[in-house]
Amino acid sequence: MKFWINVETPTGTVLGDGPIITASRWSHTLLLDASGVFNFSVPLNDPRINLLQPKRIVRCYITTPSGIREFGSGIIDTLEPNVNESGIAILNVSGNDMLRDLTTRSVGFLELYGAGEGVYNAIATIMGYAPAGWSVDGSVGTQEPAYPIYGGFAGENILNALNIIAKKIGEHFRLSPGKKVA
Amino acid sequence: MSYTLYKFGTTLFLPCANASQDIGTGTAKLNIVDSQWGGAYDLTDRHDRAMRGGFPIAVSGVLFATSAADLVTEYNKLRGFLGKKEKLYRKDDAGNLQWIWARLEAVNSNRTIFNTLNLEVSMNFVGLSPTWNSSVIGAWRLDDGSELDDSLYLDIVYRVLISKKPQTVPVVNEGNAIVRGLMFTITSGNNVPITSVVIEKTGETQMTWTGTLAPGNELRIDFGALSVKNNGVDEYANIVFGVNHIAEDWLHLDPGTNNIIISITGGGGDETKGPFLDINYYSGWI
Repeated sequence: MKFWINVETPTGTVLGDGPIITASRWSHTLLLDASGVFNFSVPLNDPRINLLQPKRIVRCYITTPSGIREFGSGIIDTLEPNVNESGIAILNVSGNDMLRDLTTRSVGFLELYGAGEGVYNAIATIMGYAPAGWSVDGSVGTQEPAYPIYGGFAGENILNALNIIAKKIGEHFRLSPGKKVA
Repeated sequence: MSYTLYKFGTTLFLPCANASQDIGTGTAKLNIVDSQWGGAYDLTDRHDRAMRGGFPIAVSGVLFATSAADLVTEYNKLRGFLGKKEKLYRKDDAGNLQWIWARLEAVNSNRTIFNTLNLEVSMNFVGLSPTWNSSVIGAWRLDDGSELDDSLYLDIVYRVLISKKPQTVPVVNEGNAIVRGLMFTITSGNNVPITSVVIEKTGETQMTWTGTLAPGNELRIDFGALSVKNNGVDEYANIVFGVNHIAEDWLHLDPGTNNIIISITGGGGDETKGPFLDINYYSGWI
């Protein structure tokens, strides 16, 4: 099974003449209710090495008998040139996964309340503040709470706001392939 | 039919006297997990071929010289290639040439004292190319680093006029191995820009490029490097893979005839002026 890594701008435009195909490994650890971490290594003389820059998005893909599948993704934080035990110059690339994108926007002073009760669309309301492209993956279980949610925020970012709701209702969430909260 | 390894780079002819040469395939890289229930689970898809990585090639023979000084010169020439990456050539018994990229890993010799006119030597190469390349199909330039005896033919250009949509283009791989390093160059005709190109191979490849390819410009898709350039400008972003696409290498040639289905929008559609698809590749051998 082979994998490749696309490099995108922070707004999702794919860069370069092709994907990174020399990576020796890819690791992505998903976390519940938090942004996970990824890392991979490429030889320093990869002709597409200059595509890898902080804040850019990387997406790892594999093919399966049923088509291409995203294997993981993240936002580059750290680029560490290194010489490994074999004397090979490599670049270690690491960062948080895409959920970190939800920490870049605040929900401001959002108040969740309705006519005499809370709201039934707390998650959708919070995700309405998310950068373009984000959605809730209801197909794998994320749903609005069955009962109304009251809430008031004071500048929390979107990820923290989701955490507050999750704790209140005793649920958890995680990243789903693409820009989806599941 | 068998093979003889005979040249490394452009100037080093391998010793042929009393020669012993490794002409095996190397070892395919398997992804197999032994099962606790017996047998093993093969992680490589049933339809995919497990490829080899770098593979060892051992060559031995005897250097001859007319004087002790000449023998030293010959041996030093051989040693001077240590660590170099060059084309390693072989030919079959019918004289057909094939080559791979290889690196010389070691030169070994045990001298017999007082024997100053011949020397047994052995060399260890590491083959780097996935397959041995034979006759090139497509256009090539004299300044691309190839030699005049590299099995290249000046007049061969596999240029296809894409006059139908879709059009099936048969591409023949004369070898016995999968070829991954082919290149497509698409050009317009009639001063009409091309706005999309769909490349399909049943059950494997389904990819679409969309954009604007101006008349006189080239859309170059290199399936070996997985690269897309529109007149030299990066355009990987303009590639979309279909739901039926499962080829990790985008497109490859199986041994025999491969029917590639091409649909081009724009570019004139004239029966003489284009659009054109130029295909460059080597047939591949294990």
